[in-house]
Parts: sequence; C-alpha cells; structure tokens
Amino acid sequence: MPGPSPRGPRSPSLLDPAFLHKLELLEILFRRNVVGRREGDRPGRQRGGRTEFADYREYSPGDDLHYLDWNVYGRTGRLFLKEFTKREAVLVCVLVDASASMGFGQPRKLDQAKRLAAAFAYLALVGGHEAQVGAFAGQQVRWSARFAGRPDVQALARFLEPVEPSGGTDVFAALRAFRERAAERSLLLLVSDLLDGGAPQRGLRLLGSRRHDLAVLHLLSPQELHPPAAGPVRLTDCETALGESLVVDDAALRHYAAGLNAFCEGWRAFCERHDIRYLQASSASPFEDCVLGTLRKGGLVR
Amino acid sequence: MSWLSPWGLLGLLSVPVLVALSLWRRRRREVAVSSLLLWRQVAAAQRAAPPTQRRRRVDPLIALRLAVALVLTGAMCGLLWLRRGAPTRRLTVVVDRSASMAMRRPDGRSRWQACLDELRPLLGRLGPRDQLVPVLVPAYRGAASGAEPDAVGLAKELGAVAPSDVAVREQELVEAVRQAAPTATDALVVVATDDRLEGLPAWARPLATGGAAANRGIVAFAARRRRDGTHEVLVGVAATPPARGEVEVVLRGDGRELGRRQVAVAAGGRGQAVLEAALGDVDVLEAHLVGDDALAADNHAWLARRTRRVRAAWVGDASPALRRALAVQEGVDVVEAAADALPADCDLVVYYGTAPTRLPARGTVAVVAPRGPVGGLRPAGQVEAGVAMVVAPRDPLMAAVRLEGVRIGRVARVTVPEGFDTLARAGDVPLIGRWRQGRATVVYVGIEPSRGGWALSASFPIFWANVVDVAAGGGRRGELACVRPGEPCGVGPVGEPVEIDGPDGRRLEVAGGVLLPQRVGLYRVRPKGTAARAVAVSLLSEAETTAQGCEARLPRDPWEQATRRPLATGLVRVSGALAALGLLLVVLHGWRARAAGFDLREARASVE
Repeated sequence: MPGPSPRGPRSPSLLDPAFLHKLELLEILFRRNVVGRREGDRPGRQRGGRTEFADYREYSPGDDLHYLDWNVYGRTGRLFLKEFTKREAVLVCVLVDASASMGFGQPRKLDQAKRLAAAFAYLALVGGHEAQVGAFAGQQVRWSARFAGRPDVQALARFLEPVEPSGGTDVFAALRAFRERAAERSLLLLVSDLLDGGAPQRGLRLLGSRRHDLAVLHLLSPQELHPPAAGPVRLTDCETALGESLVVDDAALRHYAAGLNAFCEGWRAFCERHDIRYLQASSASPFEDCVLGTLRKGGLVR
Repeated sequence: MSWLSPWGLLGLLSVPVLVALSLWRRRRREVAVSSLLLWRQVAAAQRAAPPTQRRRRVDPLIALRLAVALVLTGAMCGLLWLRRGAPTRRLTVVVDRSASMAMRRPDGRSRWQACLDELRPLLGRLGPRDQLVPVLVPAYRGAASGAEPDAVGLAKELGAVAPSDVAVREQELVEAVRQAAPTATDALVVVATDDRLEGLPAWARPLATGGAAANRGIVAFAARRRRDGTHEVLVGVAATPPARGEVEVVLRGDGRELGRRQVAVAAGGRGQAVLEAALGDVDVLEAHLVGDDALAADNHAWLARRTRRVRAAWVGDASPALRRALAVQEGVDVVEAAADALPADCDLVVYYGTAPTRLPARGTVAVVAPRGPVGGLRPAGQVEAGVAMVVAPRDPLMAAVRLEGVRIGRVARVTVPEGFDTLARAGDVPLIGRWRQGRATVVYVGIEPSRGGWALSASFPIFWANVVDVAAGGGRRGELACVRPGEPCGVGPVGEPVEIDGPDGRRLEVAGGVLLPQRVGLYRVRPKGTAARAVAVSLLSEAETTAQGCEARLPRDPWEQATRRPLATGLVRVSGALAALGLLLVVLHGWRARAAGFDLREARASVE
C-alpha cells in the first residue's frame, strides 16, 4: 500500500489532514467481479502482466516459452509455466442524495453525506483507483470528472463543497443516469436517506443486473430516528409541501418508531436479497466513527 | 382569608394566564419535516382511532402549575389576612388653629403653611389602611365630603384647612393631646403648634413652626360712658420684641374717623391710648393700627352697640344671691310677678322654688329647684350630688361656666322629658338642662343657690348672664361690646334660623340661635322679623399677638421612634413578597415553556 504523499493533500474543509492519514490505512473491499479498464494497484482477477505472480500451470504447446520455470524443470523434469495477475484500477462512484430532505437534521444529513463521500472517494484514490462523485436532486444528476491519484482529492472537495440541498428525491432517476453513463462495471456507493416515495429499489435491481458492485449508505438524522413529542402539529413535507395534521404524542411516537424500523428492515432485506451492501448511519454520529466503524463493519472497507 | 382581596384577585388572574399559555403551547403548530413518508401511517392510524383515544389528555405540567399558583395565591391571601390582623398605623395630628398660627415668618410663609409643609411628607407616607385622626383646636367646620374619607383623603382635606382667629390657651392644646393618647403600638401623636408646650406627654412628638415675628396688635379695646355723655375709649397695643416704636391708632365710628393717636410701644411691652369722643348714636366703633405686620387679625378691633334691654319676671321664693346675679347685669330689668299674672313683654321668667302650673307660650323660662313637675320633668326625691361637671361647655348657656370643684349639696333626682339636653350633671343626676316646650325654651336648674357653694363661685353670675343673653337673643345691653373669636354668641331664639353676613361677605345661617365666630370682624345679624344689628368680634388677645413661638422639627422617621414593629409583621411581609415572587416565577415558567416548546414529555424523552 502506498505511503502518504510527501507534499500531503491540501486540507480541504471536508476532511482534515489528520483524518486523511488515518484513511490511508484503509482499503476498499470489492465484492463483485468488477474489472478495471486501466492498470492500477489492485491485483485483478484477469491473468496477465508481468510482476504479480499468481500460480503455476503445466505447459501446453503454443505457450510462451518466456514464462517457463526452468528451475522447476531442473528439479522435477516437468515443464511448468509461471502465471501472473494483472494489477487494475477500478472506477469507484459515490452518488450523494442532495435533495431537500437531506438538509434536515442536526447536523444536516447532507453535510455528513458529503464528508462520507469525500472520504470514500479519497480511499479509492489512495488505493490507486479512479473515483467519480455525483450529486442528485430531483431528476438532475451532476457528475464530477473522474479523479485518479491522490492530488485529485482537492478537486473532489471543490466539487462537493458547494452542493446544497434542493428539490425532491428520485433515486431511480439517478441510478438510471448512472447506468447510462457507466461503461464498465464499477463500485457504486449510494448515500441517501432513501425517503423516496418512488421506486428506488427498481433502480438498484437494474444496476445489480449489470454486475455493478453496489452499496447503500442509509443516512438518517437523530430527529428522524427519535422525533420529539410536539403535541398537535401540522407536518409539512419540505420536498412536496404536502401537509398532514396529527398529534405527536407517546402513542404516535411508538407508531412512528415501528414504522421506521419496518422501513429500515425492508431496505436491509432488499439489499441482502440482491447482494448489495447496506449500511445505516446517523448524521449525529461522529464522522470518524462513521467511517472507521460503520463502513468497516458494513464490509465496505478494511 | 378572602379571595376577593387584591392579592387574591391578582393570584387568580394567573390561572387564566397559565391556561392561555398552555393552550398556546398546545395549539397546532406548523412543523416542517424531511418527508411525510413515515408519518402518513401514523396520521392514518390516528384518523382511524376511536374519538375517546383521540381526546387530548390534560398536560400534567399545566395541572401542576395551576396547583402551585393556587397554593401561592392562597398563601398570599392568608398572609394578607394576617397583616390585617396586625395593628395598623394610626397617626393622630393635633393641630393648633389659633390666631398666632397665621403669623408670617421671616421666610415669608405663615406658621400654618410651614406646619403643613412639615407635615406633608409624613402624611404622604400614609397608606389607605393607615388611620389618620386630625384633631383641630379649635375645631374646624369645613365642608363635609359625604363618605368617610380614608387616611389619604383626610390628609388632603387637612391641607385645605386654614387657621382661625381664635385665641387658644396652652392648656386646651395639652388637654387635646392627652385625650389623643395612643392605645396601640403602631400609633404616633404629633402636636403641630407654634410654641413649646409645657406639660406635653413624652409620647407626643412636637412640631413647632414658630419663631421671631415682628408684630403689633390691639390687645385691649373698650369704651366707657362718662357722666357728661361723652365716651372715653381705651386702646391697648402690644408688640413682640423685634417690633417697637410708635404706632398710630385710628378710631372710627360707623366708618367716620373720630380721632388718631400715636402710641409708644416698647419691644415686648405694651402701650395704650385713651381717646375722648362723643359717640352719640354710633353703633360700631372700630380701632385699627396703621401699617402692616406679621399678623393681620389683631390690627383691627371692633365694638358694636347692643341696644335692647331685657325684662325678667321673678316668680316664687326670694333668693338674694340669684336676684343679685340678675340685678347687677346691665340692661336687665327684674320685676316681681305672680304665677298667674306674667307681664306680656317678658324676655325671661324665673321660677324659683316653685313649679309653674302653666308654662308661658314663648320666651325663655328658668326653673330653679322646682318642688313639683314642670311640663314633662318630674322630681323624684333628693340625693347628695357627687362631683359636678359641665357636659356641654360650648353651649351658650354654659359658656365660661365651671362647676368642677364646686360643692353642690343635695339635689333632686328628676325624670327628664323628651328632648331634654343635659348641660351639667353630677353622676347620673342632671343638674342643668334645657328642653323645648311649645315655642318656649325651658332651662332647668336643679342646684339650689341657698345650698352648697355654687352661689359663691364666679361661675354663678356667669351662668345667669348666659341665661339672660340667651333670653335676649344676644342683644340685651345698650353698651358697646364685642365677643372674642370662638366664644358663643346668642343671635336669636333657639330653633329659629338666623341669617348672618360674615366679615368676608359670605352668608351664614345659624339654626341654633348661637353664633360661634371663627374670624374677627363685623357680623351682620338678621333675626327673622327684627331689624339687623351688628355683632363685633375682636381678637384682643395679648397671648396671640405676642406669641413668639419656637421651632421644633419632627425626626426623619417619627414612626421608627414612636413605634416598634413586631417581628411577625416583618416576617409576614417577607413571606408575602416571597409568595408573590413564587407566583410570578410560575407564570414565567409557563411563558418560557410556551416560548421554548418545553414539555414534560419532551423532558422525559430527552432524559431517556
């Protein structure tokens, strides 16, 4: 694993330098058989290359005699070929939900989402992969350029910093846009509160069929996890401006907690069914704990 | 304890305030959420729930606030009740309204004004629950306000009172102070005068606003007829120490100047001038000093002629002492009469030792020691009289009459008729009294002059002079005379209204036949059916004219020295203030909870 850059990354406001050093000790875990288009640092599944030894196999006529291991022939009298593994760079995409609902919570969910996206993309850059970040609100998705190499972390931060919450949540539209854009199989991390009345699961199923390595980071605020009793209120949806009158008392909170639990469990079951890594986090959790704990526990990094 | 007390009403006012704050807190607020996705199920469940489950529950915190507010209100009412039980402050102000109080001080204010200025801060600190007892000497007969005023109202009324022209003796003031003796711990007696009073009780706080004043005044004024028909008029002048030198005295008769005379007056001494004048038919004689000084009331003096003679009829036994007391009075003609043959034009009929079988239809009848019933009055045996005392010293019949110390002897115990006014008594036995019988005024005298020592005392001829004055309606002498301010003066029959024009031109109406003048000057009396005549009222008081006085201020807080507040009163006040503060905090807590959205359930959730 490469060491830290002698210059060191300029400290973006999303990530502080001390934490970046901690991140460099981590590595992204890929689950599916994603294949990088260019050579990188990750040992790939495709054989080839010249440096990374993989295995021996018996000689067959027509094989390149350059790879014969003459030492083995001298000891055993049989012809064996040395096989090498190709090191490849994988495209790691992080899709951040920038809808209006992500502006809620204390701290805001979007702030936590941007920092997580930056950290994860930085992990990809440190691992020699390519990183690309997208922010979607409504049916609009804004993509960054593909970043490669540690110095690109500054450009990554510059892309994420001005993202502000607006519009509705349409996860399916964002995933469909990703599918149309992605020319190769890649790792996609979706960071969202998943408060989408549409069909977000349909988009994930679509991507799963394209053999993309998918992960969902379900981000909720403490006010959504444990809303306070507020008495008789009229709740207004910040995205749709629709209202609902009700009394938020103990019974209502119990009912809400049960509904929230069912919602999260439904997502967890769906992700397991479709080989998608599902992680849940609170926007109030300390950022380092979220990265070092939640992402590691969810099997996304090690 | 009453909830209707101001504190109770104030405390009860907090209940609707707290309820309103609670309703404000519970009103349906607009709350923005990230998504209604998870709340729709909750709303649907609430809509589907039965109404009994949808009913709002009473917030336990508002119930707790209301209970605390009611308890604190009750505590405040209870403390107020305790405070009411505690002694209230009582301020008695004995104010000298004598003529010298109008004297101008070197600073330009009158002594009276200076006195009010000194009293004003003390009166201003009185609250509605405090008591103010103003004692004015002489009494003030101002306009009654109708309802009985509280201390604050009395303090305002006291500011509207003016000093009189009456000469007040020091003993009168001291006696008034003694009668105002404090009976409670929270009581203060202030004596406002212009001089240091001898014999003042130690508990009385003196307030003296006297001081040096340059004043000269007429202290004596009399006219005497000489054998040749002319009159010699005596005018006495006195001066306070700063004033001295010659004073010019002007004598006028019916407004016409009769003469002038320079009178040399030493500082602190007196001088006099005797003027000879042919007064003739002059009805009003006036003397006045030229120039102005500190007191105006003594710069003029008047004498007025009393023109009528009084005819008195004597019925009954002989009594040399009584006959002499009547005969020595000028202008009185006494005639012997039989009980059944009274002269028709008698002003006064005296029955001595006998009871009239039939009372005259009008006029004044004096019944002395009757041996039988007189109208409704019935003698019932003889008793030894105890200590005699005058009950109505201001009555014209008893003016200047003193019975204290006089040995009375045996008197008759009588059953008095309806409307009988007891003027003097010994124990429960009436000695002197009066009642109306038809249009006649009957004066009962139970003291027999031949017994006891009354006939030898000075008050005996004074009393009979008063009787003659009352019988004559105040006009019996043909000589020039005057009365002093504050002295009663008979101006007409008792019970008949008499119109009087005062010296200031204001119309007075006297119903009791007696004028009690408070101002010097000429009073024009118009009894019904008779010609108008003048009554002269002159100060003629050396004590008032030369009253130097002294200054004595009240301490900064007379209550602190005069009263000692019990510790309980202070504790009650502190506790009441704390209860009120607690109530205020409860309301503020309700307000804060409204503003911050604080709720017991929220608090519980945050703890969890």
